[in-house]
Amino acid sequence: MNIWLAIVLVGFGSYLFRAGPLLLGVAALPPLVQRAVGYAGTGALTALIVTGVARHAPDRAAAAVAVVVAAAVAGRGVKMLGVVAGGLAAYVAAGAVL
Amino acid sequence: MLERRQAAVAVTGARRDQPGARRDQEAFRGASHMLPMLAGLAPFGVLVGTAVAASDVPAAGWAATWLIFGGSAHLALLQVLQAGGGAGAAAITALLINARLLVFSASFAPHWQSERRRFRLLAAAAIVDPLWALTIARYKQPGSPAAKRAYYTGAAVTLAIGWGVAVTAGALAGGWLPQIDGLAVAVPVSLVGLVVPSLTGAGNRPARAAALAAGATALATQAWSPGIGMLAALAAAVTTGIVTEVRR
Repeated sequence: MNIWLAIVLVGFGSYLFRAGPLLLGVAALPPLVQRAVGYAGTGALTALIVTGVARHAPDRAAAAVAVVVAAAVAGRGVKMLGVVAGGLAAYVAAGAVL
Repeated sequence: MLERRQAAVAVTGARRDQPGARRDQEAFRGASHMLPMLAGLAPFGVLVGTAVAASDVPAAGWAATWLIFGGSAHLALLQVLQAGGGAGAAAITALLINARLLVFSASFAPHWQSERRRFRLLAAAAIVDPLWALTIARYKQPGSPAAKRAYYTGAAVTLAIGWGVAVTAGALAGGWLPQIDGLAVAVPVSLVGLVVPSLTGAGNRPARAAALAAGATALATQAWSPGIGMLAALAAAVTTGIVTEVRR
């Protein structure tokens, strides 16, 4: 029940985000709102990364290394597949060493 | 003979100039331009699918593929629920990630002002980062509204089908994939791939500060309820980002 409720809420809310400006004729959001939305999104993803390492990963130290390496790879403009491959390779290597 | 050839060219040319033919070509262009982006998104879709397979109600997790139609929000929702967070906290987290869709939608608004309401309502359902990035550029080029509408539709349908296939593949394989050591870390690693591009560059100092604040708060609130800890991290991110901007 929990998951269905959450999914329906998010689906409905997301559709309002998508259709609202189009139906209301809003051509631009206030700059502060745009930036706050950006920071919230960035914050949510970062928090998920941290909790993903701290709570779920079988080997936290190796997972932390994987995330750092993935960040370095992503920072160089490498596409998603390369980022994931680099992070997983670092995880395996760190797991063997640590 | 020459007259017959000239007549054939005239017919072909007329057919080529017919609005239906141009719309077909534009729809095909949209679809073909989306395919390379889809190839890059597919691995992330498979990862989302494995999270769907691991969720308490895989059918619901799979339905979210189209109900939410956003990989990062979809993943965030499943992760918060799996960590023990309530439906409210999971929904708020996912909605805050998807709030950026307001910005994308607003950028389409001037181009779709003359479109029928039915098109706006249907087309809105597909608005998401890769589709926006691809099609907003087409809207800024010369062309008829019908041609641009066809381009958008071709790209949107391709993305919807391809994304659905990727998530479904991950969900079906999810029963075996979690046995592979290290797959659990693939999810945070893929999220790194999503967030880092928005943090690089000299002008993104407020975004970096927001990310640091969110990460530190998430670490400090590990003992809290997962949903409440996430909301605290989001509040820290927004506050820190705006304060850092003001102090510049």
